[in-house]
Amino acid sequence: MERGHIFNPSYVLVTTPSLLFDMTVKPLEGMAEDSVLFVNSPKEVSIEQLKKIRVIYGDLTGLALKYVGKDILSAAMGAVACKLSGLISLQSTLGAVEEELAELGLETDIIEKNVQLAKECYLSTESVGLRGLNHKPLHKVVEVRYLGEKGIPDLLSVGNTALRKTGSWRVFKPIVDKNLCTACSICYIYCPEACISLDERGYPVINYDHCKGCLVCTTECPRNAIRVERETAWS
Amino acid sequence: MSIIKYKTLKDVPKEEFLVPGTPLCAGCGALQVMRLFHKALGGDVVWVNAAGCVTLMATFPYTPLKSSWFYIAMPSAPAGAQGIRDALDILIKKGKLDPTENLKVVVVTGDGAASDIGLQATSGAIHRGLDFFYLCVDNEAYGNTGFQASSSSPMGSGTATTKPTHLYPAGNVLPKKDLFEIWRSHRPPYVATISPSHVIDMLRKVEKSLSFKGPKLFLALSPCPTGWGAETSESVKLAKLAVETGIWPLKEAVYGEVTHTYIPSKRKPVEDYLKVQRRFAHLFKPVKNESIIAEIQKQVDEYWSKVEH
Amino acid sequence: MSKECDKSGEGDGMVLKMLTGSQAVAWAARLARVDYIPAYPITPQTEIIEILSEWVRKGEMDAMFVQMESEHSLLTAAGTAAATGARVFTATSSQGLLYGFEMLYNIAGWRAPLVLVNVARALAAPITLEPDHNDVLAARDSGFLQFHTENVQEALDLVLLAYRVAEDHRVLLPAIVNIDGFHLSYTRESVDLPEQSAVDEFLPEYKPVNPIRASAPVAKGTPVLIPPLYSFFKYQMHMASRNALNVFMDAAKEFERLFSRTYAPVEEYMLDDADTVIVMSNSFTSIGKQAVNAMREEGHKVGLLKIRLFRPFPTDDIIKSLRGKRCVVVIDQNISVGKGGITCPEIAEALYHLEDRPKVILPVIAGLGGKSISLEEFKHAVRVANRLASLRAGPDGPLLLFREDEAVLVESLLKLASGGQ
Repeated sequence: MERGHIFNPSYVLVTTPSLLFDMTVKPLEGMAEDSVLFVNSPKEVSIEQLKKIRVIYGDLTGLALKYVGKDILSAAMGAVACKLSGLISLQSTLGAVEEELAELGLETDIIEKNVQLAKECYLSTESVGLRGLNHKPLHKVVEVRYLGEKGIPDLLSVGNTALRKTGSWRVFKPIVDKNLCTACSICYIYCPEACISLDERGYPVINYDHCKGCLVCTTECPRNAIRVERETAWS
Repeated sequence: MSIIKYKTLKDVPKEEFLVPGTPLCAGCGALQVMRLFHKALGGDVVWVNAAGCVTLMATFPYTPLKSSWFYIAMPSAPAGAQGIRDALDILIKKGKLDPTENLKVVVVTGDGAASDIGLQATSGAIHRGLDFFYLCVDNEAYGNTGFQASSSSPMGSGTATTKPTHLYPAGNVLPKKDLFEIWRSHRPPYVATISPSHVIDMLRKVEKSLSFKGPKLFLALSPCPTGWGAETSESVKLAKLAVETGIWPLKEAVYGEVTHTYIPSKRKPVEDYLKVQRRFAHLFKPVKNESIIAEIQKQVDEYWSKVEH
Repeated sequence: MSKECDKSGEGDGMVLKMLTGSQAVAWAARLARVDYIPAYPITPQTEIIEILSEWVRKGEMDAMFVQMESEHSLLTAAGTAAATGARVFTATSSQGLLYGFEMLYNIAGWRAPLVLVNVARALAAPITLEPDHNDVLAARDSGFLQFHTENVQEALDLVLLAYRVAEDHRVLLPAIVNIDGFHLSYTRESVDLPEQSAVDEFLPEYKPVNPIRASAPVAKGTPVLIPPLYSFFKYQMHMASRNALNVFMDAAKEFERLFSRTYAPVEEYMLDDADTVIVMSNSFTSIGKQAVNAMREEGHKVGLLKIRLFRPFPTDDIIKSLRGKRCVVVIDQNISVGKGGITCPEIAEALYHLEDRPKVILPVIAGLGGKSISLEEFKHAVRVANRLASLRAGPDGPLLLFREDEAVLVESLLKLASGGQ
């Protein structure tokens, strides 16, 4: 029986690759060599640390867009988890999706779309069962030292959220067409995240490391000079 | 006093005080307001925050702000501002602090803290003539906790605690509290409403307020794609519609004297604004609730009938 | 306002004044040269803020006095001002302390040192005015240091000591100095008012850590959503509070050098040969000492231990004073409804692992809402404890000290309230 923090996960599901190496999330912690990592990503992520464990990729965002029309992943991720475990039947999985979404008060057609999404996710995932159960991560109890002034929760490194690459949130990518752009600066002004800067001639430059893909810029551009593409890369 | 610093969008200051990478939702209207508001305020700012969505902007060990930030507690951000302002003043007066270390003290809260739990502290701070800015980013509900109704939620809106049912077809039956008038009744030097869609109007108001000593209070419409049920890309458009339908009047009050800074020449029907948001979807589906929509329109018309003549 | 009187035979410029507890702590704030006093009136704290506001308005004190609109705002402003670098003094009581309660934890978590005088008053409902310690002890777990005072001199001195300890960079925690409402706040006693120059020598200028400054942006009070990090910061507070024990001892030594008065975390009264020890705190300790005198005259080996520093809890001092004693009678002037007194379990825990721990630790509830405690009540508690010790038995719950004359009074008042039925 585990509750809350899972110390030795049989499998880990990650909704976006950028979370894999986030210092504050650490989803890979405690994974055994034979445990399984599922990453929602249209393509493989080649990172050294992932070589020891088995990684499965699936483009759940793509499927969610196909079935629901939005990048809402809960039913899809849930279905993948159920299938990976090898413990939960398709029927129970879809029943749970239906029941929980009905509790949220969603309309019948939206629930049905999510059920279809969950079904495809379930059927397209292989069952791996519970692995790594004997893996016991090595933990050691240490003494915490008194750090005096350094142990006060004040943040001195101001403006450091730039370290968090929120670009991975992006499902659609805004792309400026230099031929149509008149350098009016409207996209720059309305970007909620300060992700658009202006070059020396006044043309917008999008910071894709951090652009969350809200597409306010696309909507507000008076020249329709910002087109949209489904995001495939992540930064 | 010159307020012609901002004439066109080219005059928007280029310096950024907020860096990207915040954990706030994509398309967040509050973040957009804060970014532009900060540009007009300039540097040397300490933001004083009450619990709300923007609290999550700075979570240890990250902050997007290049300026200072102090998260206080939900009910008392204005009192937190009082302590900082007073401490800076007395330390400078006593010669213990170099005046170049002075800062502008700016409260930022959501509408729940502003209209409900923090109203007492706000009233106290305004009454004492505290020299501070107050920016309320109004997304018309308790967004951070999952969009429950606040006293700033408009009549007819659906929230997590005012779900439309057959017994309550309007969703929220209570009117939106008029925070502008509550603030104005204290006769502070400056009160204004702003919208992220009307940037020059916003920047001019901030610029104008900078010349006053005392409370300078801003109520900013802050579209919330998550809670309002709209595409993230529609934030600015919704703000614009709120202004053009007359639902969100742009105005200011200097020592209590009200001036409307923008009067829509021909107001769009409120329906244009309501029908594009999921929080009002029950007014249109499964059957259109003409009477509630008409009531909302009537309230807007009545408001402007007093303004326009 | 205060009557000066001569202290004959003393030629060292010492000034003795007849001061109320309220006046004494106001003087302490003045002598500490505080910068900022946010205030909000509540009985029985009002005299303190009336005096301070008058001194500021007359220009006798170079500080800013601001009347807030609630204790919640008062504590908020106090905390942010301290975090900005001002030396802050404030005072409240009872319901006011509870109204601002969440801010106590915040101020402590910000590691913003300041001094808050709590003028103890029992809590509603039923609403009342006289003291017990349910208000100040409610703040027990907040991270504030807690100093409990018995008399007016101690009230003044401990405010000065509290600043010195709280602002020390090994500590950086706020402090509460408790004075009992009416019994200290409105009671005049002879007080040795320290010289300003000596206080200046005792109290160095407050040096804030990461204060709000234009040249050095800082984010304070940010959410800590990562459980190990939260755990870490919280435990840092605990270690800072434990450090305050040694910092207090050092400060007390310096205080003794400058002012010739000695303060330890606890005070022993006729303890050396005592077999039964009454444990108490705050102003009622004085009548406890009188009771000890009376019982001594009757040949009983009774002593008293006064807890002065309640947070950090002076475990070692308590062990030193109580180990090997036959009976300990812990008089709690508070009640944790459904359990008993608040301090008794803390005393018991401190003694549990000793082989020579007392045979009986008797939990006693007395003095709630300012109820008097007579000599007979003290004697009764001591008798009960010793009887249990002889029987090798433990108490089956807290002992409430309540007299027959009081029971008669209660009965007659209940009759009046019920329309004479």
